[in-house]
Amino acid sequence: MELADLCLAFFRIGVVSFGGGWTIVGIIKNEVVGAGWLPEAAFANIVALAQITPGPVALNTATLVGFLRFGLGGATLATLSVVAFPVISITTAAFLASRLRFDSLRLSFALRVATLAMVAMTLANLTVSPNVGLLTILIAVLTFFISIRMKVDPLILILASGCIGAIVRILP
Amino acid sequence: MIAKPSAWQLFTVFFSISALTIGGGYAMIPVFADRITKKKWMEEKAFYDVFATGQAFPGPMALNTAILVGVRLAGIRGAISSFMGVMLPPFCSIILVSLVFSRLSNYPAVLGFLEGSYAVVLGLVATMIYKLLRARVWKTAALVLSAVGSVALYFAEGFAMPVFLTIALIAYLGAKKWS
Repeated sequence: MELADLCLAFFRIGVVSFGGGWTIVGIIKNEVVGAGWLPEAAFANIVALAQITPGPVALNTATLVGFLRFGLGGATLATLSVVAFPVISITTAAFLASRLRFDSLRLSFALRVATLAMVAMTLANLTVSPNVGLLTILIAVLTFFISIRMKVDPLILILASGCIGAIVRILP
Repeated sequence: MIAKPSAWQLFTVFFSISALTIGGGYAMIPVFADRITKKKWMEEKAFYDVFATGQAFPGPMALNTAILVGVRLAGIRGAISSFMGVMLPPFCSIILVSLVFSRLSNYPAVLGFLEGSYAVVLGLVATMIYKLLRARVWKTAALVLSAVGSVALYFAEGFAMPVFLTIALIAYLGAKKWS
């Protein structure tokens, strides 16, 4: 069933959602656009909308894809699916008080390597998109240099670039 | 003096922070710390220990931290109320925003705004890669593993989960040599 497939896809996303925020957007895109849940352009819009609303992008995407495809019930189920694994594992661990111990230095190295792979994949995946034009690349490069040089609130960058995008669109 | 919050108090605190903080986990965690220590529910060091534990699990940083704080302060009821507090605001707001947006999507200015802000994501993701690389010394083997892994993930479609776990496992096994 379609709804079950959607929930399963978001459950899988939830399992690998290490590293917070933007790391897994590439994976989400593969699952959501690759399976035909959403067209590429609609996905790009969700990514943009997710930035100007509270909450992590994985959650926002799950809620919105569920909502667009199956209404409020779908939104609830998809959202619960994406957090199911993290919530269950963390609650279990909290109650077990971590008797089973990993070598934490090795574990954090392993997660760092895998997270780097995931972020690199996300960047590639978001760049290879029919919606990405010269202006997008220009803004992206500018954002990159600004944010590695200065401490600027990402929200300001988002609003400023949004306005630039709007102005360019309105101009003849 | 450490005070014990009720499940409802936990819910209201996490709900208000989640609703009012835009900018994701990195923006929310310091606000959590501030509120929780001001209410004397936890000391700052204890809070950041809890936060560090949460980082070892998948899932949104803010959600993980809130659940662990909830469990610690009010058991399973605390976990549930913290969970609801963090989750409800983004859940409702993204649906409302998308409803508003679908009415406005014919305006070129609105589409242009979204295009512009999408571009920022590319820049911020690139920044993340830069910071991950700069944060410590990387050995060539680890970088090669990451690079191969990212190509595998790119083509993995629905198999991202096993691919990700395989990369992590290989890195875990090789950690002594490569880190």
